[in-house]
Amino acid sequence: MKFISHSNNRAVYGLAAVFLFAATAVSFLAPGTASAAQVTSRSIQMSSSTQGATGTTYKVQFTVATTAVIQGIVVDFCDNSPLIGDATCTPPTGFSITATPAVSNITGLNPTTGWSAAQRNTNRTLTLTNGSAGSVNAATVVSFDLTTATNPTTNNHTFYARILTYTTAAGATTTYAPGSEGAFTDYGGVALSTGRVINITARVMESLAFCVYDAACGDDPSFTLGHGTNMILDTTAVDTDTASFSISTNAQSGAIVNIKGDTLKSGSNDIDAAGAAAVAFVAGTEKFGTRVSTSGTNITAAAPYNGAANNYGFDTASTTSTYGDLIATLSGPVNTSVSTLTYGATASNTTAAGIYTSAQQLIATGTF
Amino acid sequence: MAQQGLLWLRARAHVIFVAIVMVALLVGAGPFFASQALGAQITSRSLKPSDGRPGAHNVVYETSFSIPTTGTVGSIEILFCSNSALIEDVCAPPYGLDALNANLTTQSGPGGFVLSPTSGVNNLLLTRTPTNLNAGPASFTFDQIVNPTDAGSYYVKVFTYASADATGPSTDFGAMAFPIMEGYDVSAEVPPYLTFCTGVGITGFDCSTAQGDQIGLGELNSVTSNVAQSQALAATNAGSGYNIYVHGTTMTSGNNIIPAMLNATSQVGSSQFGINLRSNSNPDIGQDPTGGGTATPMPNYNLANRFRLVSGEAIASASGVQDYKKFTMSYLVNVSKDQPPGVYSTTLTYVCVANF
Repeated sequence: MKFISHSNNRAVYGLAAVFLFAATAVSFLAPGTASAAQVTSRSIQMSSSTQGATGTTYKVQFTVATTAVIQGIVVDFCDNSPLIGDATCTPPTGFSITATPAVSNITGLNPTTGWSAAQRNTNRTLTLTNGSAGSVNAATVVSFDLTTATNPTTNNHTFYARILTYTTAAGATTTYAPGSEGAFTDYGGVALSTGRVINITARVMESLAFCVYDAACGDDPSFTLGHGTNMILDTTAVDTDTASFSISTNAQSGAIVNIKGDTLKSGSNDIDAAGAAAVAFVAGTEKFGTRVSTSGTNITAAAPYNGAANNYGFDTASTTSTYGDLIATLSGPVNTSVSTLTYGATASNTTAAGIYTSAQQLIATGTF
Repeated sequence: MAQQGLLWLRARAHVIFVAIVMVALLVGAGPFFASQALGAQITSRSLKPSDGRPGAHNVVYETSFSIPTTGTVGSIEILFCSNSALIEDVCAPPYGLDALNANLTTQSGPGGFVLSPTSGVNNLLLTRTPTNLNAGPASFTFDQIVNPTDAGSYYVKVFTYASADATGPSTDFGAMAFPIMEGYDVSAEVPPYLTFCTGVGITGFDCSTAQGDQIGLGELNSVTSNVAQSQALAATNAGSGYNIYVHGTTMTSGNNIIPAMLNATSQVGSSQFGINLRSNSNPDIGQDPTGGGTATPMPNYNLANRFRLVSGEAIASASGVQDYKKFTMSYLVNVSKDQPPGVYSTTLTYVCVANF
């Protein structure tokens, strides 16, 4: 075990030595000419980092280091190294600037028009030339968009670009080659990377929350219609009480609310239902019915439950049918729409004495 | 060598265990997802129960939806879940929901489906011979379903399959939500009432206008009849109606009496006293009952021109709830020539008894 440990240390030291040597060598090799300077604030902004994305725009930008004529610019994309002077420039897998690269939005050059974009090295190297261009001062920010790039097809992959400027167009189109760049003016390396596309998925379940209550969801909305100390129904008044319902749903086609139940009954006796059309209740004329007295958001009351105040409906032919009677419709998704039903009843002289009851229920059906 | 291998295995036992567990999970999860291909989403989907109360029995469920994909369909699976509407989630059956006795009662749309006997407690499987189905609406109604026991929101997943037994990948999928919640009671108490009043005269049907309790029949003689009338007003919500009774004797003066009549007609010159509740022409007195309700005079007091008086007899009755009805009691008295002189009088009491 001790022997192995020594061996590992030696390997580490060896690797470190190789790394330091390489770094030193690069620093000596990078400047191709005695007058060359490194462009600063250099960057290439990709419009998409998706691997293999076509038609991607690369915004190339750098600050000129040396005041000089610029008639040729080279941007060479390499998979292995950004170092100027490195004779090897491996094309990133799948990368291309296309056979007819396009460049636009040129700024900083003199002039900004008349520039020709071309490719070299099988669509790997962009040349931008203008044989009549003039001098550009140091510290000038040069920028242009390469709009025809196809990203490398490997995701999360780093690749590089080598940027060089020349005083002649031929410097870019003819002289330049990796490792033998010729007499370039300024230079600089840039690193780029593709990224992995992040697919975000969210699932929303169908929902339909429905609640019928008196004061708050969860309580019992049951009530007794009547007045006075003994809460009785007689001929002297139309007695009323309310129940509310709330509905929350993401059903895109909304929902319907049906009311199901019979009129007030006491054994074989009953209180006449208001019927299939809303009618005004008159104290002493036996009636029982309900109406949507407050419609919540997106709720529309259905006839005969859409009458004005004191106008009630209750169509027992429908309310006692299989699915009950439509009382309200919800037009679309809604977050907590609260509506109120007002029930009304009055007795006549001939309304048989008794305790009348009716089991009511509201049934909500969403259409998703 | 073998010992070194064993030591190597021991040193990496936890890594091997984790690897085995992960492989097992992947293999085990496979069957749950293998048959769920994400096809098109079923649209316009809804579930309408006939009863939304927890635990309700014999509930009818009508489910409607629109199938988006034209192609071979051999089965449709309708799955009820309490936990999720998402296709990839394992379905938890709603507690209490029971579709084992469900019947497919109606269907519209593609048609030809029957409910498979392999349907489960929360799973309705519709099957048919796999044939082409055009995209479009479909509706199915089932009965004899028991609602989930607890109130809340529940979910329904609908899958279509090319196979007749819901095997293989599903073609289309859709889900919906439906609520189960308690109903509520509306109640009202109508108290019993009986309104009854008598008087010499009553205006309209208002007991507050009843006036008078003394009737003077004048001086009796053997050549003319003496008549008078009073009125009674009654109403009740007693389910079995009411009876009005008359209590009292015929007219007397000390030991002398004027005999009470027993459905006799008026005989001028004969001593007789009686009443009825009709409009009479001989003599001209009284009027028929007026007002609502079905109350009528009892037969013995419902004969025009015939009079009667038997104490304790019902003179009118009603069999059900009654609106206000006004009766007019006609009084007839004749005397013979030998009727002893005197001041003849009687007190008649009318009693109305409601039968609740």
